[in-house]
Amino acid sequence: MQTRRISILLLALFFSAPAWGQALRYAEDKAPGIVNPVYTTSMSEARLNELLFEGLYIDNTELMSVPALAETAQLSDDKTEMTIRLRYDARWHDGVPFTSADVAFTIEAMKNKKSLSTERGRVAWIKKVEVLDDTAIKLYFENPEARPQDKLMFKILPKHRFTGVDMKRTDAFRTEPIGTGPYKLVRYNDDNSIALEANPDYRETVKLSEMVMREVSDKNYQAKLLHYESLEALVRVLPRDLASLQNNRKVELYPYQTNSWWYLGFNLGKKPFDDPRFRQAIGLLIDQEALMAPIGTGDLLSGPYVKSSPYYNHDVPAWRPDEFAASGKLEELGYERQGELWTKGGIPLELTITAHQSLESSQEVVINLQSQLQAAGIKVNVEFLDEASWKARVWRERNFDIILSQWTFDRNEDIRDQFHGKGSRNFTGYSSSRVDALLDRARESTDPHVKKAALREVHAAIHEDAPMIFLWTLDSYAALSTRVRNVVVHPFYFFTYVLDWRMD
Amino acid sequence: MRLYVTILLSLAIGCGGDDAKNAAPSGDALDASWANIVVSQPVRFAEVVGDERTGRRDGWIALHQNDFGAAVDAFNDGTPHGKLLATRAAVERSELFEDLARVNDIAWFSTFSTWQQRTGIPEGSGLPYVAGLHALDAGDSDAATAWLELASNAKAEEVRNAALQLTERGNVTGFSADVENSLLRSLARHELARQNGDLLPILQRANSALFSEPVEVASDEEGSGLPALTVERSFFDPQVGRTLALGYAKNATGLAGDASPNSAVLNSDLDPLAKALFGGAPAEMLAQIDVAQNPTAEDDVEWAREQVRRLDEHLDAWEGASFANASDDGKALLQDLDLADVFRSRILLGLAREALRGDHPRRALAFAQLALDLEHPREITPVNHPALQAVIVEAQLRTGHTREALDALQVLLPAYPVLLGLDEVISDLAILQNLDRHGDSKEN
Amino acid sequence: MRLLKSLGRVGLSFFLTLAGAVLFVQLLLWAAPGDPIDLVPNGVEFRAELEAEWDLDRPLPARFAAYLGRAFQGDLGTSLTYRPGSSVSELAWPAALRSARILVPALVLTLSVALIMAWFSGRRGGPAVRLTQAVSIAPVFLLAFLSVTFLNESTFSLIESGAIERPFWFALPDTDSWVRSLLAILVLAVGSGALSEVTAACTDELNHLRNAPFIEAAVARGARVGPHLVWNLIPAVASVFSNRAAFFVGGLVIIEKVLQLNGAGAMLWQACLMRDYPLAMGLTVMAAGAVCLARLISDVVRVAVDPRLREAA
Repeated sequence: MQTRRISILLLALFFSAPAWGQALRYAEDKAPGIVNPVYTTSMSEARLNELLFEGLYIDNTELMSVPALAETAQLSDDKTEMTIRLRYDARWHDGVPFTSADVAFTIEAMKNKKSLSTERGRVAWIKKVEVLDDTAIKLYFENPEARPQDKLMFKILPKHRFTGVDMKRTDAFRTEPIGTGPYKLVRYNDDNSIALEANPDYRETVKLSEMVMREVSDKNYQAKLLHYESLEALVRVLPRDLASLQNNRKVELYPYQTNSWWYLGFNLGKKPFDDPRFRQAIGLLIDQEALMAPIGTGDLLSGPYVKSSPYYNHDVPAWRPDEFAASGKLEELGYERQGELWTKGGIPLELTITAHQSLESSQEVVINLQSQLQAAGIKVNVEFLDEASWKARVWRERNFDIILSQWTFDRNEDIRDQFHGKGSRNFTGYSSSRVDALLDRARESTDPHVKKAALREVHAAIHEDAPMIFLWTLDSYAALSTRVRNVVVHPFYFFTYVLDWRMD
Repeated sequence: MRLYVTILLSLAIGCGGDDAKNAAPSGDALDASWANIVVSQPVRFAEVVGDERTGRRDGWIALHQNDFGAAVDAFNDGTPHGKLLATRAAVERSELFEDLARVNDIAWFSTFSTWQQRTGIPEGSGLPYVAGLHALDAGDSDAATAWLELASNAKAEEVRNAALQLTERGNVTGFSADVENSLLRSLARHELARQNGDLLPILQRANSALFSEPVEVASDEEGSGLPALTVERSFFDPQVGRTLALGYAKNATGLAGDASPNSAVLNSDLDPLAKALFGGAPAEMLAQIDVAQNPTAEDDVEWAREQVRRLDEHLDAWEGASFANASDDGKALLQDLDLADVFRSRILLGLAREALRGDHPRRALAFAQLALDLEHPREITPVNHPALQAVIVEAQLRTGHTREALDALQVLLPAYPVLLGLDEVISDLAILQNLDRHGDSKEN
Repeated sequence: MRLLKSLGRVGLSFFLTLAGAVLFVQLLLWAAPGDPIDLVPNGVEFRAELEAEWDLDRPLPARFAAYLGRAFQGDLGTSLTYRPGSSVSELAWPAALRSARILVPALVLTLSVALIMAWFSGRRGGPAVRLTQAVSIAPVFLLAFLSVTFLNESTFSLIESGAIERPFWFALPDTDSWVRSLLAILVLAVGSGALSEVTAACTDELNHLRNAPFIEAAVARGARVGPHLVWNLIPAVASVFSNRAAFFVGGLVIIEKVLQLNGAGAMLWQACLMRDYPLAMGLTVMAAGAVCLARLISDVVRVAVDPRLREAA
């Protein structure tokens, strides 16, 4: 009898009490280590910044820049100066009024080399900032700017929370961030989740009173949590989870098409990858469709743009498997088929494919790729690297054969950093004076036809030179619970229009 | 044993669930729908669709797969019955091209005005001619006059002459097909196609530029130190969209032998199932299930999503009941033809079009996006009607999401390569709108 | 004097264990490709400055010695990449406490259940023991994963069917609750052979004791053997306790990752991935310290209980 009473009590306790409140919980693969827009490196940090901070301007739902912390602006006739009158009613989360000194401080801190800011490029076009009074500043530009407001969306930081413009990543601000945005950071929880609450002093009504960013490193588990209603939002849905989420009537899918593409990158500083014929041979040995099929739907690509891009050259087809042609190229390079394997000087052709551990579905792709190349007579080793190893081996030491990775671009789809001889992200070591000239020309020009022509030629040239084999772009969606209403998603930053969202 | 019973009881009693859930719909309201008729009367469906001996079956297969051209050809066996079915397919096609013609108008207007605002018209370019031609074709004579005046400064003589002729004429009709000026010959071709519905001459040239002009980008432009680059600035024909819409409408009326092809089909003696098959739901049915009634005045996305949720509740109930009660043939049809999803998609397409007509692009976007089958998002399938993508393109353009409009247009291009010119124009718009934006990229 | 010598030996052993553990971790991290500067945005540009700032330009032995020196003064350093600028102590102590809340109950649970099963199962071990062995063989990560999946899926089915309302702990392991902690304790206590091996050790010891002459004498006298068995079991249990502590600390890393408990184990994992040398070494010091402490407690208990060991000491 006693046992029975205890079991009833325990079970009632176990299953008692409904669990959810009114917080919108969303998942990220990894919680940000610091919260400071000046040091943003990942999309999860960028999304969090969108909730806590504001810029002088912001995108409206029609992707036009409209004032946020700015109120009005006057551009000089020669377009080299802009006088901005700031909002007088904006306050930092600690109640201190927002002033022009904060804007000047932010720009100077970002420009300051000692700050090691990742966002320095965002203000490189601003020559000088002049504080006119508490609510007015004047910006002086390096060159005439037709629409400077389009570039004034970087987040503003509070001057009074720093000791000077020599900002450090280790400043206390990183864990006690203060913004003017619709949300304030309440606490870092023990499980690396971050709790935010609506800023009661915000100038507009914030309908979602709480938000929680949860760190869920297992991407497979993120969709499960959405099904279980332990989350309300999933920023990126794995392709394999799309079908189940689409059938779930409590979840709605929103296209969140980032301009991203997967690729195999060669180390052009190493033999035999320095020869374009070898790289082309690899392209001809791969069945891209078969590689893509198990991991999702999308488009196969032939160049460094997604197919819907204005710059995509549709006259350049994607690499198709052609073992005969590939063999011809390998033979030109002195390789010969001995039994199962390609060899040169008696040594079997062997290479290593390296992938980032956190790239979703990379394991499947790499293993299938390994099978394909081994069937074609090449010995293939595979390795998966964590973040630090990746940065060291690929970016710093250039110690790799072939990597599998992915790039994501905003609407500008500016590939200069990746393929220009002076590009800061050109880790393949690719160099072509013609491509450099075309990239420079495209950047300088404001004529869409000139830009298209130049960059389509870049596409064709890069495809032919093959420093990378461009694989595919995958269809990408966000998923939100139907309890979240009035959702409009910004194509890159996701939470820009969160003020309109509400929970039922 | 007693312990286990205790546990079950405690689950039931101590932890009881919410008994006061809202009553779920039964699905009965959809009994009169074509989807339900197909499932519950598979024999009648087989009669309507016909067998392999007649082209009719191929026509229905093509219509199910949203291949309207193939459907028209397959249905049109010369018999009155066949012509009526071909009319049905032709009307679908014509409606699609009407949607695309609207997109065409928005795209061309926006691109040229943005070009002028952002960077100014390149000196000596024939761009103003194309802008003026489009404006004139769309009935905006004021804009046309302004553009055509600018076109008088074009470097190419043919362009200057054509601009002059258009300015004098004041409209795009009445030009001879025998003139030397290729631009004016193009006008004549369009006029003829719109009159007689023969679109072949238009289709043959749709993917070629109306004219091109070389652009010399000098090597020492502004002392940039960049090498010279020569590009062809190509302008596609802005009249294509409207001509295709009018031409396909002409085809439909020709098949129907009636100025109103829809009425001709509805008033005919075709089996009612044949009139409704693979279509949407009538307004009365939507009223019965309280979907899309009393829309809000604002362009309220949430209202649209609420309608879709309500529709899904009814469809899920109907689908469940149908599967339980249908014969084996009915079940097979339900699954093989994806009837529930096709029906849903057509209803949402209708709501999306209505939203666009009511100047509610966000609502339209929500309806269209929620109608898509995301297992094949980049394909035209029985569920993914091409007009859904056309609606998405228009809605995205109207809400400033030009780059996203290109994503949707990309889905249509393989099946409708005539849209290449539209794609190029929207590309120009996307580039112009993003000229001053900060470019960003992230690994993984 | 002898006491001082003993204390000295204990202290030396403690120091050597800690130093050895720290050296081992430092060598592993040093050998792993990449360093914390690789994870700093723009680190490439400022490598020289950061190396100087973070002491990474010194040879490994010098860095090791400097670290140990600071550690013994209580300064475990500052996190470089995990929470840049935060003191390692401020990060590690709360994490260690969170881990201790799982580790200690798991140890106690394992020992308690093992003793009970050993006591009642007889010489060959009953069905309960065999079932325990079967379940206990499962690796900790598999046990955790299966438990979470089973609980979540079955509960979700009940919720969807309307049989129950959504429990406060659902879904595991996302939601922080005593249920999640309890699951972690249970899995750690049982999995990877923990319970089965401890049960086997206790059973063996108990069987050995039951056959001991002094127990037989007690039986012959008609005295109760229970208290004798319990008292004489203590040294063995203490040995098992200290032996298992290190395994439990290792198992904790996996449990904390799978069940998303942000304890010292998960933090150590993350610190290693992020090449946060000070944090990784600080956590290693704590883990080694915990193992040493377990050993010390075991030795003290054994010496206190067993007069023969007291004599030898």
